[in-house]
Parts: sequence; C-alpha cells; structure tokens
Amino acid sequence: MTEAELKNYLQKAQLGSPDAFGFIYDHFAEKIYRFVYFRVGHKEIAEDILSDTFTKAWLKINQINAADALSGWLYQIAKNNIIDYYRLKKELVPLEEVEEILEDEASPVDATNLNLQQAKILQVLEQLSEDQQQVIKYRFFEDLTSEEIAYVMGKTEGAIRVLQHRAILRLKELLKKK
Amino acid sequence: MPENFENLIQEITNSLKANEDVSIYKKNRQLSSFVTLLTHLNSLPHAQVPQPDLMRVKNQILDRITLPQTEQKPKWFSLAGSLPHMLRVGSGIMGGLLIVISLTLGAAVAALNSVPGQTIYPLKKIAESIQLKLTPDADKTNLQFKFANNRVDELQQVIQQQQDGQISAKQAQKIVADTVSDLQTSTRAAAKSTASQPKAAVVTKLADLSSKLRIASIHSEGEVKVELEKALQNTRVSKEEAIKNIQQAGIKVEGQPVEIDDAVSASGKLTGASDTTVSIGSAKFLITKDTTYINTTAKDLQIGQLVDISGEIKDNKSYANRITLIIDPKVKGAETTKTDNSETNPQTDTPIAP
Repeated sequence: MTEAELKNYLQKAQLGSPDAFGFIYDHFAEKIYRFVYFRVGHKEIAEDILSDTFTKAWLKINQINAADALSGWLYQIAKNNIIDYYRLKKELVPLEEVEEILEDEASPVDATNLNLQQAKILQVLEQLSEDQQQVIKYRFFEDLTSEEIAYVMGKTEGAIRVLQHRAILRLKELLKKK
Repeated sequence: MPENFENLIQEITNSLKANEDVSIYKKNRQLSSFVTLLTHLNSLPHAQVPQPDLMRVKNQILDRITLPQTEQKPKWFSLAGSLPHMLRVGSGIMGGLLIVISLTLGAAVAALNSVPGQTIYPLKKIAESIQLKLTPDADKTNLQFKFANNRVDELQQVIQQQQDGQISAKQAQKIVADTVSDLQTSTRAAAKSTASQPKAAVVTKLADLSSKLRIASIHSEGEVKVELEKALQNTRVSKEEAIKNIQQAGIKVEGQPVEIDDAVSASGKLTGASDTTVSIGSAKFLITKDTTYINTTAKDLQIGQLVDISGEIKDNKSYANRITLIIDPKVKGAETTKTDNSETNPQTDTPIAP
C-alpha cells in the first residue's frame, strides 16, 4: 500500500467507512499480531488482543491526523492492551515488572539457526542498558521502524536514534573485547 | 568517527531493511566494521509464529464496529468528528453486543466459562472490564454485583478442585487470594457507588455475599480459609460503608440484615439439592428434621429454583432452618409471595431499582 493510498483510507475511515478501515487492518494486522504474540506467547490470546487493538483504534480514529503516524499509534494501542492483559492476569505486579514480562514470553529470534557472530552478539547484548537492548530488539529482531519504536517506548524518534547509535557503539566495543 | 555518525547508522540500517546495496559504506574504513555488525544484526533468523486467523479477526472487528451504524447512520456521516462521543451514548447496547459477539467467537467462548488459574481466564476479566466501561453509570452497581457473584461461584469451583485433588493447596491458596482481591474490587466499587446513588438494596446484596463467603469459609481449611475470612471481613467493611453513605443521604436502611454470630442466610438459584443438603453456589446447608419449607416441600426442591435459605452455624457446620421458594422456573410466571420473611434477603439476580 502506498503512502497516498494509506492516507486516503485513513480519511475515509475517519468519515465512518468500515471498509476503508478494513484495508488499514489488512495492511497492519500481521505486524501487530507478531508484536503481540511475542509478548503473550499464545495464539488465541494474541488474536483477541489484536481484535481489541483495532476496535479501540476505530473508536479513537479521529485522534490521528497523519497517516505516517498510524503504524506507531497502532503499536502503542497494542502495547497498552498487552499491559492491561497482564494487569488483569497479575493484578499485583508493578507496571515496571509487567513491562519486563512483555519481553519474556516468546523470543522473536530463532536461536537454533544463528551463525557464530550472531550468537556472540546475543550473548553480549545482555550487557547493554535496558533501553538500548529494547531498541536493538525492536529494530532488528522485529523490524520496527524508529517511529514505531518511539511510540512503543514513549520516547521521541530522536531519542530512539541516539539509543540505537549508542547501542551499536557499545555492542562493537563488547564484541571486540570478547 | 564521522560527525553525523548517528544518522549514518540510521541510514545504513534503513538500507539493509530495504535490501539495498550497502557496499558503498564498506569502502569507508571507519564504517566498514559497523556495516558488518549491522548486517549480522539485520540477518538474525526470525522465529516462526503460529499462523493467525486474520480473516476471522477482521470479521470480528468489522462486526463490532459496524453494529451501531444501523441505528445511528444519519448522524455518523454528518457528525463524524464526534464519533467516539456518539459511540459512548449507545455504549450500553454496544457493550452488550460486543460481549455477545465475543461469546460466539473463538477463544472467548472458553474464556467466559473459565475459572481462575486457567490460561484463558484473563480474557474473561477483559470482557468484564470492557462491559463495565461501556455500561451507563446508573447500571454499574448491578454489574459489580454480578461480577462479585461470579467471583464467589469461581471460589467454590476452586475449592472443589482442591478437594478433588486437581490442584494443590498452594495453587488453590494463590488462586483464591487473587479471586478474593477481585471480589474486593467489586464490593468496594458497589459500596462506593452508594455515595452518589444511595440504594438500600446494596446493603442487602452485600449481606448476601457475606453469608455465602461465610459458609464457603466453613467448608474450607488452611490458607484458603484465611483468604475467605479476609474476603468476608472486606465485604462486611464495604457493607458498613454502604450503610453509612445511605444514612448520610437521609435514607433509613430498613429491614437491614443483622449479622448474628450463628445466623447465616443465602439467596439465589439452587445449585445443589439432595435429601441431606442444599446449596446456593458456595453456600452449602445441611437439612435436618427441623428444617421448615415455605411454598415448597423437601422433595419438590430442584436445582435452578430461586430460594431464600436461612440457617445457623453449629459445630462448624451450617444448617438450614427455613427454605423459602421464591420462583420455580418450571412454572411460568410463578412468583410466590413471601410469607414471613421480613429478615430474609432479596434474590441475588434481581437488579437494584433506582
């Protein structure tokens, strides 16, 4: 889907067209599903959270004023739904811990097919700060754009670039020592 | 190191993501090793995920979002900007439909029948949470009581699972503790609602929950019993708060159920009836030769009938003193009149009148 087409569908969806919203769903559903699945590790639950994410997006569709922000916004709604899911599952777990749990359910990387260098990268990755690890994981393990990561992590796109830059420098330094 | 190194990293990453040629960057000595690192990162093998049924989910979403359109079509197009507000107006209807649709689809079916401890159980809570959010404020208290009664029924199932050896005492304690916490949320909200909507029926419903919990606690032991006692105490605190709010609003709480140490009562549909016991959810009573029956007889008692049971606790057992039949679902329109039940509680499923 081109940017112009997406913009067109967004405008129509904002005027109340479920069909146009259906095209938006077709375009983003698989990416959002993968994002949710890695956090909950369960197909049916991920499908239900995906459904709630797009239903909420429809209800709030007029909050979005630029088509290029749509993707990140959908990730943000999905992330909030995942947190709600964990809150309801473990009501007493503090939010910070919930966010850690988000990363643990299923790995986005197929660890059985790594080359030697990639295995080393994964080993040293744990020595990075939490934020740096998150950025690397979102960017390279799950192919999110900087803008999408910015929405998910609640930071500016500039901050994500800086984090990514520092993470790469640190990774290179750690790999050199190893 | 180049000055705009941050942007270069971003540029190289974007090129790799777009499968573009990055050899030009490798010619730069300072950049070469970074390009290699980024290439390794970019080629990390991705894990497979179970294939989702995206079409089913899409149909579910489209069903949800198009349902209110048939009722409000003209306004939708002229007032598209205020769409979220308009959806809230019809939220009660939409909430109901949303849950009904969820009920008919996929995992949601299993979720609504699930009990605490099952993987799918959180979905039941999500469905309840959505239903509560979409329900008009005036009807929220009834819904809170419905959820509170769900929790009490779930407690009974968990206790039964423990007694059947399906779960360990430790697992049961954990699940009961979580469920008690949820129950507390509902009873507190109901008590709080009396500050703005002083309804005396809230007090009787809270008293009814107390009785059920009290009897459930009699039939349990160990840590589970401790948790149930905690729930009982919390429900009593909520009841006191409700009474205070209602009295502050200048309303006299008449026929208020007095909790006497040995007296217990329960109202609702019979979930068990035998020659020796009757149960309403977790509230199980033993039948004795002194048990009296109003509008019914011992042999006519059947599961599904709406009854009031009042009784007492002796030697850590609960005994039914009087069983009053309120409604027999098999007899259409047969709502019997209570005779001498001034202190009994109203039926659990009856909505609170405004």
